Amino acid sequence: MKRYVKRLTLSLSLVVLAATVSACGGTNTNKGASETGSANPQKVDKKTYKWFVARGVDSPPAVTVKEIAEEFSRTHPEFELVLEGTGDRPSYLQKLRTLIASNEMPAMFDTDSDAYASKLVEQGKLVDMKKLLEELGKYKDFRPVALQYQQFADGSMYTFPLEYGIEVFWYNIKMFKDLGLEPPKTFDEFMEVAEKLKQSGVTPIAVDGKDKWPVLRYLAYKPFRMTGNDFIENVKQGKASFKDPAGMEGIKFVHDLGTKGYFQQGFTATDYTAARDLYLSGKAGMYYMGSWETMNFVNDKVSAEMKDNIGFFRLPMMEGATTADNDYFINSGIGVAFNKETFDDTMKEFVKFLLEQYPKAYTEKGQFSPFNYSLDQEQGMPELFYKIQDEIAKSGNVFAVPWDTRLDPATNELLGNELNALALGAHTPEEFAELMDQAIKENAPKYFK
Amino acid sequence: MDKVLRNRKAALVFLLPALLVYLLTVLAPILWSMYFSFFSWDGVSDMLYIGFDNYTKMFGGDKTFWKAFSNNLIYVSIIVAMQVLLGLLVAILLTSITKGRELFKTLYFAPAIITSVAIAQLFQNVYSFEPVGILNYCLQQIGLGDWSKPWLSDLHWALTAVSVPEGWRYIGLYMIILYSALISIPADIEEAARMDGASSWKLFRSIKMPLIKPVLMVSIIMATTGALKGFDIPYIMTNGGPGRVTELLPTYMYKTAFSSLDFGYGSAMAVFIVIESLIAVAFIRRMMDSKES
Repeated sequence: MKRYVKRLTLSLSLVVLAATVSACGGTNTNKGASETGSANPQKVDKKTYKWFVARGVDSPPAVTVKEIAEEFSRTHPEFELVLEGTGDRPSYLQKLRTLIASNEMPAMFDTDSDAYASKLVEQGKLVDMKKLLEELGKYKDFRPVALQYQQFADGSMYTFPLEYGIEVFWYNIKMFKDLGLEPPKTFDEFMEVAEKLKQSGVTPIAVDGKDKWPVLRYLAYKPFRMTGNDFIENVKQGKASFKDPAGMEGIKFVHDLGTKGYFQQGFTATDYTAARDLYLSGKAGMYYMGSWETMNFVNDKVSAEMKDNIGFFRLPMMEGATTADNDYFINSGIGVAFNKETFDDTMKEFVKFLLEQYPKAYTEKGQFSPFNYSLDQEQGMPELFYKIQDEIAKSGNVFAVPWDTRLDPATNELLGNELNALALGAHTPEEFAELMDQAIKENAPKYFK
Repeated sequence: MDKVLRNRKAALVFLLPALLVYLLTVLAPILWSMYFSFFSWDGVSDMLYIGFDNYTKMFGGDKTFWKAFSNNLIYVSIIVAMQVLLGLLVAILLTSITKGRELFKTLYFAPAIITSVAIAQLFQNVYSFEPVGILNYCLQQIGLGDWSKPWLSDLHWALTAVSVPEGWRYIGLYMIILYSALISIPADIEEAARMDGASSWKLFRSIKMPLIKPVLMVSIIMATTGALKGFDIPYIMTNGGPGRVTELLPTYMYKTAFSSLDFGYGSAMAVFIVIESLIAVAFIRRMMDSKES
C-alpha cells in the first residue's frame, strides 16, 4: 500500500510537471508560428498582413480599406489583411510602441509623422512612401496639402494619408440668430460672441478636454496666425521661447477661455462624444472639430431641429496676421506606414490596387478623401457635405500643423496635462510658459539634434 | 491521500510548478525592471547605460514624482479607510441582522466583480456637471446647490473624487472577509461576556477586535498594497489631470514609460513602487504587532 501511494505521488507530480513544461513549450511554438506567419509564411500560398489601426476598425477609412482588401483577395488568394485596432489614441500609441519595442512591428500601422516616427525612419524600419507613390505613378493623384501634411520637416515622407479634413468652428445658427450674433471674423469678435453666449446662459464652447489635443488646438491658433508654423518648429527645439509674443498670446488665449468659463464646466473630464453631444443637443453655441464630423451632423440620430441649424466658420483672424483667412488647420489624418521587413511584391500590388479604388469608395461614404476627387450635386449627398466640399476647394496652401505631432513625446505629455490646468487657472500664463520652456530644455535634445 | 499530504517531498514537488510560474511572472519582471532602470532607452534607439542617473533624477529634481507620491499617500488613506472601516462597519451590521443577510451580502459584493472601465464610466456620470450627474443633482435637490461642482475637473476635489470609486468598489470584498472572521468567533465567548454585563461597544472593543485582529491586519495589508498600485480607475477617469492633481505613482510610471517613451526612468519608478509596497507591509505588521504586546 505504501509503495502504491509513493508511486502514485511520483507519477502525479510528473504529470503536473510535464503539463507545465509542455504548456510553456506550446505557447512558444505558437508564437513562433504566428511570427513567421506574417514574415515568411508556412503555407506558400497564404500571407497574412496585420494592419494596426488607430481609428477603430469601424471607422470609414478602415472599413473602406477592408472592403478593398477583400476584393483584392479575390484575384490574389494568397493575400489576407487582418485589422486590429482601438479608437482611443493614447492607448493605441502605447500598444504600438510596446509592440515595436519588443520587435513585433505590424506590417501596416497608423502613425503621425512625429518625432517617434522619425526615429523609426532613422533605424530604417519604414518604407519610403514618396518613392513608392512616385514609382506607382500615384503621387499627383493626391491633394498637395494631403501629402505635405504627411511629410517630415525635411520633406521626406514615410506615411500615406487615408483621410482629408479641414477644421472649422461649428456653431448653432438658431442660437446665434436669436441673440443677434454673427459668426466672428476676428479673435476679438470671437471673445465677444463667447461672452454674449455665456451671459444668455448657454455654454459658449464645447470642448473635449480629456483627449487633450482639442484644447491644444486653442493654444496654437494665435501663434499660427502670427507666425505660420515658424513658432512651433522653433520652439520645439528650444530655438524660441514660450515667453515670445506668439507663445504668450496663445497661452493667454487658453487661460482666458478657461478662466472666463467659456468652455463647459468640467471640460477636462469631458470626452470626445460627450463634447459633441453637448453641441448637438443645443447646449453649447460653438464646437471646434474637423470636417470628418460632417456626416455625424446630418445623420438620422440628430434631431430635425438641430440638423438645419449647423453652420460653420473659419479660424478667426487677428491684427498682424501673416496667414490668410483660408489658411487654417487642414490635415490628412493619421497616416499609414509600412513595415519595410514585410513589404513584398504582393503588398506593393495591393497598395497600387488600394490607391485606385479608394477615392470613389471612400467619398461615397460621405467622407472627404485625400485624393483630387469630388462628388457632384447629382450624387444626392446632404447639403452640408457639399458646403464643406466647397470650403475645402477654397482652402489655402498654408496649413497649421498640430503641435502634438511636432513636439517630442515627453514635452507633449506634459503639455497636454498642464494645459488643462492652465485653463482651470492653476497656473498663470507666465508660470505656464516657464514650465514649458523647462520641459523643452530637458527633453528636446534627445529628439532634435 | 492523507499519506500523500504527509509526505514532505511530494509537497515540495507539488509546490514547484506554482513556484516556477510565480518566479516567471513576478520576480523576473521585477529583476528586468531593475535592469532597465539603469538605462536611458526610448524603445527604438539603442539602450544607453547611465548608472544611477534615473534614481538621482527621481529623488532629486522631479517635482512630479513627489507630487505623485504624496497624491498616492492620500489615495491610499482614503481607500484603506473606506475599504476596511466601512467594510468592518457593514460586516458588524450584517452580524446583527438575520433577515435579508444574503441579499445585502450580494448587493455589497456586486461592485467587486464589475470591470474597472465600467466603474470609471459609472462614476464619470455620477460626478458629471454638464450634463448634470446624480451627485450634483442630489446636492441641488437637497438645497446644497452651492456645493455642486465638476468634481473631476476641480483642482481641490479631483483626487478625492477618483479615490472614492476604488474604495467603494471593494467595500464588499473586505466586508465578506471581516464578516467571516466575526462569525467565526465562538458564540459562548460572546454569551459569557454579555452575562458579565459587557456593553455592545465593550464587547466589540475588548473581545471581538482582538479576536479578528489577524484578519484585520491581512485586510489592511491587502487594501494598502492594492491602493499603492492603484491605476486603472484614476487613469481612465482623469488620466492624472487636470495638471497633476490626480497623478499617482503607477499612472506617472506608465505615462513616463509609454507616452513620454522613457522606459528606463519608468522602470526606476516601478522598482520604487515595489520597494514602497514592501516597506508599507513591514510597517503595518510592526504597528499591529507592537499594539499586541
